[in-house]
Amino acid sequence: MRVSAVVIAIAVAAALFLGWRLFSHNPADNVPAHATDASPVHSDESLSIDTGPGTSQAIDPRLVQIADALRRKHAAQIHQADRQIQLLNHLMALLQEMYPQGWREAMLTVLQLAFPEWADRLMARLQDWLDYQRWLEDVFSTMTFTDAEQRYQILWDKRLVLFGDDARVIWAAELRQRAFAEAVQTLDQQPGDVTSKAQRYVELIRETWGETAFGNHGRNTTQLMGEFVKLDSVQTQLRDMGPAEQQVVLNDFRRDMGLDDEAIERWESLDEERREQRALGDIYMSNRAAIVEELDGEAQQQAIQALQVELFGEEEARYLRNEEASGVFRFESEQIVGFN
Amino acid sequence: MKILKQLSLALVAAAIATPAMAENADTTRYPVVTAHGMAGWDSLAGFAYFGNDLGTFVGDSCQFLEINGCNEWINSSQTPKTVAFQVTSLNNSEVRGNELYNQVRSFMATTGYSKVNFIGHSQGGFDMRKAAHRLKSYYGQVRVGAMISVSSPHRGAPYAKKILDLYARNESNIFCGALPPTSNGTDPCLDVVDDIADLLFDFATGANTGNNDVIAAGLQLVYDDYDAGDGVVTGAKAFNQNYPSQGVAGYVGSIVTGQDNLNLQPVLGALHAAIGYNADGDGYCVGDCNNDGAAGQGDGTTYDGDDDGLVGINSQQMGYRLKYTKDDWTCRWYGCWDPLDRITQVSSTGYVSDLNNPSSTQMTSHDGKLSQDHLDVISLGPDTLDEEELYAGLFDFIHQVGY
Repeated sequence: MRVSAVVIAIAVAAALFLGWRLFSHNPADNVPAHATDASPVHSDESLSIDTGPGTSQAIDPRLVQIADALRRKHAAQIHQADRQIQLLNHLMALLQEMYPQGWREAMLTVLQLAFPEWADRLMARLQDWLDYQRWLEDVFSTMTFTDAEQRYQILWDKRLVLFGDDARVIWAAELRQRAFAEAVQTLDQQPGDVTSKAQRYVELIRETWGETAFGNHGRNTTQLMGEFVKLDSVQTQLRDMGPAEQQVVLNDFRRDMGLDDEAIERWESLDEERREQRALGDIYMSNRAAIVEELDGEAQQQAIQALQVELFGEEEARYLRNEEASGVFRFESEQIVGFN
Repeated sequence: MKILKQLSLALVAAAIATPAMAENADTTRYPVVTAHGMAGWDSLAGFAYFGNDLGTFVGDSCQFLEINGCNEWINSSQTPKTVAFQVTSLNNSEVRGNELYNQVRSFMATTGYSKVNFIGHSQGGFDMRKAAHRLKSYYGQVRVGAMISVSSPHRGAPYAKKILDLYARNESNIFCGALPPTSNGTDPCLDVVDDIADLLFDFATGANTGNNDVIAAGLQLVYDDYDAGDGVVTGAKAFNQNYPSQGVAGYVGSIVTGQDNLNLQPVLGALHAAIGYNADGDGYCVGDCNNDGAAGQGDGTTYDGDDDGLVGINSQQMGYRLKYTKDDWTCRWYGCWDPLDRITQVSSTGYVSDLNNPSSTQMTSHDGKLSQDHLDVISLGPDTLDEEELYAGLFDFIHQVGY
């Protein structure tokens, strides 16, 4: 009994503390008292009602709540142009549902409540973003680009006009990827042995994405390793090597990419399996050609099927038959060493 | 006294915990491999096919990358578990499925994971099925957790047939790569295809260069075998028979998209204008009864959001249909927060187990349809969809179903 009383007392105190803590920093301190009414409102319940966003006399309490949540969520990054675009897009979609006719006024209200010192700049940014979207629609409708490079230049000219240097922050991810792709293309064309190219490639990754791309569980590690071994200059050198030498080069590269010994072992097994498959594939294509030369009709098909099963087993033979029926011959294309 | 202390600590903890500003998606148990659609990309610059309009990949969490451009809806643990593999931009799914399979095997070697999930957009929905079959074949057991398609033409796309009819396979017209070039040395059909692919995804190498084969790609997306006399068996129907969705994944689902023309991505609008055609994709019949290139038929009303600019809704359901629900700003007495958008399973359309024989309801119902076009769900803007939150919702759903 005594314990229960203490628990209830603590619970009441905690609830009071929680209530005080949450509402003590409400951004609506500066707005009329009724606007701070935080009665339960779920977006699903209220979005269909277009009551108008509010005036200087009455601000829809939902906007106050949204502003409060927005401020807490974005305050630390509101100076970042990319986060501004994310916030504005999200808010615009929400307010267009709530106020189909007056969403711009509602947006200004929310931004003034949430980020008073940024509101005007954010509204201007919104206009730039909408202008950009409209421009995109126009140019995509006409499809007048001659190639990807021209498209890229036209897009960037427009972005820089509308957003200035902030464009480089807004599309930072795209810029990073492009810079990396261009550097890799240059690396492919430069002279140098595969080991030195691998070392430079690893440096490029580190310069672009830091340490996040390294290790068994890095970001896009497998794709990035694949992109390197697929380079023409790398494949040319790997194909000139024997399997043992290839494996040394590949293992070193994968270690440089942060893979541990277990991962290296798994990759060695996979490399070996792929070499064997390719060798079988070469035998298959050669024997298949002989069958096609010697036999016709049903006898030819039966002989090819028997060969497929003998070399690859029932299930893979079935996939090979499906592929060949559609005109695809798996082993016609050259193997990419260290990739497939 | 000990109980009191624990209770006090719990209450204080509850009091200190402010309401979540946003609910991040739960991290998936197995990694998510995203499989891109036709035209995909052919350079490293295309990593963000599954991304937002700013080029941010949906798998890049803000905690993992302290740089601009990240998905605030996922946890850092999801980033190394979300990968996008590039396959040949233009080819059939026999080729692309093999390429995807090979890269998944490579990914497993790097990470040590024994299972993956798949999310496939458009043709990626075919590719992942073949990869799932080959994974099962190699390991002797199912190695795919959830397999979810987004806007995939499992039962064909009428636009593919229309383009083949008009251009590639019409002898009185231009002929994509299969006939000698015209007198000025170029193939106008290939030029058109190059331009479209270029425009969409920085496609750079040309429609019939390298491993690209634009005809094979187009034939994949027509339901029936396009030409019984060309010596090859092509089309979605045959592919579905060879690579069913059943038995190769723990959970099978699909996002179905459809949107009216007024809101279409301008590239799709331009395509429609060029070929003078708009699909009516929400009628039922067995097979491709009206020979438009997709199973099913129209219901007589063309502009009712029955296709997504490329694929009819009657072509898209595989397994369960999944519904995307926006959920912005929930308020309670203790404050407001922005919950994660939700993905839920649609009960009214049941489960499509045989891709070539869905029910009338599964082909005609608009229940759970995502009102976006074929390209809105990937990075190509302009659009109003929050791609980061959509895919975060999918990750969360995959976690919920146990994968």
